[in-house]
Amino acid sequence: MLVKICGIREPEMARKVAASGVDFIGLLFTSHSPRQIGIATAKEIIAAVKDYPTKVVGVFFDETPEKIAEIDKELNLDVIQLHGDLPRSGVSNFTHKPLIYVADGKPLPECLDVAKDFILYEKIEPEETGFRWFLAGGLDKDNVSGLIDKYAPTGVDLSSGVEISRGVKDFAKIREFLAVIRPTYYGAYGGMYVPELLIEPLKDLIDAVKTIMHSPEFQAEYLNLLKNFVGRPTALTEVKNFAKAIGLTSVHLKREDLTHTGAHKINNALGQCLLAKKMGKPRIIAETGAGQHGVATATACAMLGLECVVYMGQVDVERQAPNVAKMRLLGAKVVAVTDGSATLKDAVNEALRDWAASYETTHYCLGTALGPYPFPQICAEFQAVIGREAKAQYNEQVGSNPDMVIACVGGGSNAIGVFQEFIPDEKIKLVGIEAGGYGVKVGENAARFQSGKLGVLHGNRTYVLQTEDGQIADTHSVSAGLDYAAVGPQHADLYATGRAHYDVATDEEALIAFQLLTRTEGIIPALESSHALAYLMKVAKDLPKDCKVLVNLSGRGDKDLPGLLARELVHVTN
Amino acid sequence: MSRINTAFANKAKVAYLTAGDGGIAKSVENFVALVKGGVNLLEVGIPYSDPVADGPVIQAAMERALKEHNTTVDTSLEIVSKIRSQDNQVAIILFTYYNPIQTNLAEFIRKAKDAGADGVLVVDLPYEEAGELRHWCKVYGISPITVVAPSTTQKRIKTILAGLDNGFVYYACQKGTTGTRDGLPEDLATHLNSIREVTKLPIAVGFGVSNSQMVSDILKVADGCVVGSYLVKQIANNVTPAELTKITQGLYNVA
Repeated sequence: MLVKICGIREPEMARKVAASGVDFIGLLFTSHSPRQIGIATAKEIIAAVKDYPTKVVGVFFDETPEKIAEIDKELNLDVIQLHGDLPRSGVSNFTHKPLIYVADGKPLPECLDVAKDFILYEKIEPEETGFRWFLAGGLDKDNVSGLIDKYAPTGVDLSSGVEISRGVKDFAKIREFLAVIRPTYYGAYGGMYVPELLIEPLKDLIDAVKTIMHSPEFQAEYLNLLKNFVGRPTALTEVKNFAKAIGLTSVHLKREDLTHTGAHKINNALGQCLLAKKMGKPRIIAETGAGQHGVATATACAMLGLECVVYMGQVDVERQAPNVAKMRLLGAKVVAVTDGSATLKDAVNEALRDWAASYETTHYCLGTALGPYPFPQICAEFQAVIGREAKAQYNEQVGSNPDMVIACVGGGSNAIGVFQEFIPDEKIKLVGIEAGGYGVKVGENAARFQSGKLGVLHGNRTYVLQTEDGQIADTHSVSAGLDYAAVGPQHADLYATGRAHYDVATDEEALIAFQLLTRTEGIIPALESSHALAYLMKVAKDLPKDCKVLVNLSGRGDKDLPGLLARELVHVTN
Repeated sequence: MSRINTAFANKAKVAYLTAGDGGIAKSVENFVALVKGGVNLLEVGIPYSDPVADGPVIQAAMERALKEHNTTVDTSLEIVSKIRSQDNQVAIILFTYYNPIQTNLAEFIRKAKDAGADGVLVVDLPYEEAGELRHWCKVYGISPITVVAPSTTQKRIKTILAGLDNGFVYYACQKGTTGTRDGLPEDLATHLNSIREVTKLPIAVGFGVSNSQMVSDILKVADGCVVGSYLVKQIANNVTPAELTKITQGLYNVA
């Protein structure tokens, strides 16, 4: 469904709208409208959206074809929209660029081209013409679904339905509208890019989220398990020595390393396994990279009495042997995947293939906040406990909110878990840290946002590391949990709209942070979480000394030690 | 009559191979060998690094095409155009994943048409995401091929096939991924009837077809039959084009 928003008047609103995946923005040059803008503003708006696929539409009600051509010459509009008899009379002057022709009940002009032009129906009944067409006129989030069902348009055109007062657009209303018509997306990202076979199983899962997962009984049982099995709430620890060592005065860690199984992964794995059990699915499959999600899933399955199969790349099986042993001890079957790069991405492929054959009896417990909808949503909801606890604890200990929240981002589950609670307060800076690996070239890191390339991997549209030919690229990180080619769609949206910032820490920087926290605070962080700490070390000198920082310590580093020692990346001396 | 309709006029014999498996020249020879063996609709698979809908046989073929022969989308289109220059009758559809073509979908469809393809099937682009694909297929005169799966509900079959008046329906008759299987599902005829209730388009059945008995059983109830992994396996075993022709003749029971 294409979306067009008409009457945009400010460059920053235009940018945020474009970043949210709106396909067309309409600029009004008509003199009777409160939404009219001048050429100078139009130029600023066009500059603001130039990096997005969004098309700029010049909307004309009362101009002569000559005047329209003059404005177009000045602005080089992507599309021209013709309302009223005078503009429409000039339709043959504009055959060189896409048009939106506002239908008036009379036969369509011969010169319209089905390949590039659109028809817009407002106030009159749409007809089947073979053209792509927009439905317009009084659309809002409450009436749009019914109208789409009735008319099946190519796109919807809205204006007053997303305003707080006449002529004033409201970004929150625009997002609400988008959420209604693109329920599987977060702005421009997400979706359900899967083979047809998996659509119904995914729809069943969406239903289960509504009817089971959101029920008070389920939530009560889940919260009880979080408290008495996982050991929540986890601590919020002020790390004064670490702060002092890097030149700051206030750094707190949310201690997900203290959960049962040693990382935030258990919050999601336990929730999904409980959901699967209530859905009547006796078998669980999961993918794992470092093995933390695999161990968490195997643990939840052992406790809930479910069969468990974990797919793991052969390379990871070798470098994470202790976790493989743990999973097997817990009763899970670990399948080593030898295809492709034999890492996390290939384990996800194999889990999806299994699910395509087994969905009737099996739940795919996806370990991070990505994949086809509703997986990113399910994971984010189960991880939201991190941010809820952290915010309450932080306010209790410090008496205010933090200035900055930092988390590492692989798929992005711990980061979305901690961010969500703080998103509404725009004063709080949110920072996600990707793996910078050992270099900036494709294949040397897992820095998806740095590459800036959009694509589709594992069922969702997001930022994807890929080759020029559209093949998924190999990635590298010292930390297996960050070593993945795509990032969750919620993060893609937070990045694109500018609500969160994303940066990188390299392998080397992460290893230094790993050792610094261990020595100064007696806490051994996971290599993944060490990336978040490394970023803070790097930027500390540019921050106000009293900047109040919260870092999500997503997991503990015990799992990393054997590998680091074997590769002589850390040294232990007597 | 379109080449696709011609293929279906007397039961479509559909065969899949991965483009670039063995290199460009070898790949073209193999496709042509299939036609000599009685195939009238070729499915040319564009290799992709992460083919989640495919089983081990086609995964391996894609890996060979990518790693040993650097096959790209453009190479795959070149293969189509080389087949087309030798044979103007056979119907050709492209089978692809979305990521390699998503940066400029319109341009891909235009190039596919220019190369001589008659249809495009994007396996991980379900109906909800396929609006632009269908538009550009209409603009450039190429058929969007829609997949129906055993899990697709009757209501959904109606929705996803509504308004389609060219090409064919691909019924992927088994759960799971591509790959050879021993038998056909019992509910095949029931599913085909459900599809026929909502569309006049011809229906080809594929997924798991691995012997001539299965082919003839499918052709008794469907308008076409697709064989993929079984033939790709022959390529992996380095059969010659002449042998491939003979194997295909055996499968489709044509002499």
